[in-house]
Amino acid sequence: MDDRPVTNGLPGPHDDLRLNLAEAYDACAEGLFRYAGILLADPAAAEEAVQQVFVKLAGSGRPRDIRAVAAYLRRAVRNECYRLLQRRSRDRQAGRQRALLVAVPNSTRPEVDEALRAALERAIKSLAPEQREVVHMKVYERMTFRQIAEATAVPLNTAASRYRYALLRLRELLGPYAEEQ
Amino acid sequence: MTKADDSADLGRLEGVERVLERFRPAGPPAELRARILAAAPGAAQQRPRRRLAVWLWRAGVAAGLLAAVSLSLAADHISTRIAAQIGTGPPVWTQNAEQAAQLLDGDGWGRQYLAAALRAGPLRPGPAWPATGIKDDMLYLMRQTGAHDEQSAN
Repeated sequence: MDDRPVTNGLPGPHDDLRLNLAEAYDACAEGLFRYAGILLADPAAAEEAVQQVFVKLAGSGRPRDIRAVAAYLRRAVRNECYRLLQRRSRDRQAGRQRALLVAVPNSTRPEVDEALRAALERAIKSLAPEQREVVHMKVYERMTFRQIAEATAVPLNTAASRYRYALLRLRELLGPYAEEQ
Repeated sequence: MTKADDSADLGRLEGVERVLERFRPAGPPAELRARILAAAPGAAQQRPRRRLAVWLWRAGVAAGLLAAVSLSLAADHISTRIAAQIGTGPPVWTQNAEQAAQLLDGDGWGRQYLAAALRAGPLRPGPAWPATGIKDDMLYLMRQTGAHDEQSAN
């Protein structure tokens, strides 16, 4: 596993602009899945969301320009995630237990701290979906607050304060783990 | 909250960010791709369908261009024929006309005079042309242009 920053799968300017479904999947699905995984705090639900969106894309006759497709997929996955969150709040069910996070290999810290990973997962799951979303965009997609504000359709200050409150909450929940870093 | 509090707060939040950066969200399972492609019937045929559409479009454009060129050539041909028939086209320089031009003065005013007369229309080739001989042609030409009447009057 590599330690590249997580991207949303947007291709560069020289990428083929006309893609079929398989190519759209290869270009975008990994980033979308990670985003959906954090937003839903549930990899199994993320799978469902991503699958739904790609199947809809296949039947929709959407434009084949990959930049347009990537933007469409991002919005569609976000909408699908929030739809699933609403459904889950009505019909809460025990999710299949799968890892939400995986450790990034680090030469200075080769050992994976399972206790820390589990604590961080629990802490992330306790955040509000909007907070998880902004944490993912800021930390794992390296987006600016301006970009986050545009992607989530909120004022810039709201995006920044959501992030700040999310980190404060994580710090509170992680306790000594956060102090040790 | 003071600036010092803010700085301390930010420092502690950086610690949380460092914890987050030690991990990344899990990626999709390998089978998801196959499942999506299988659940989207016809997805595998998207590329050939698109290529077929492109080729149909290209063939249509080529057929349109061919039709436009053909119609243009046909229109030119028809307008040339009509112009020749109604006498508004360029002068039709027949052998008789050439002989008449030589008889007048070769390459000078006589040839120009004859060309102007031919352009005027009545001298077009066909049933109207009295193909009896050079002398008759000349008389015919002069009559058509009024020169014969002037000479007779003189």
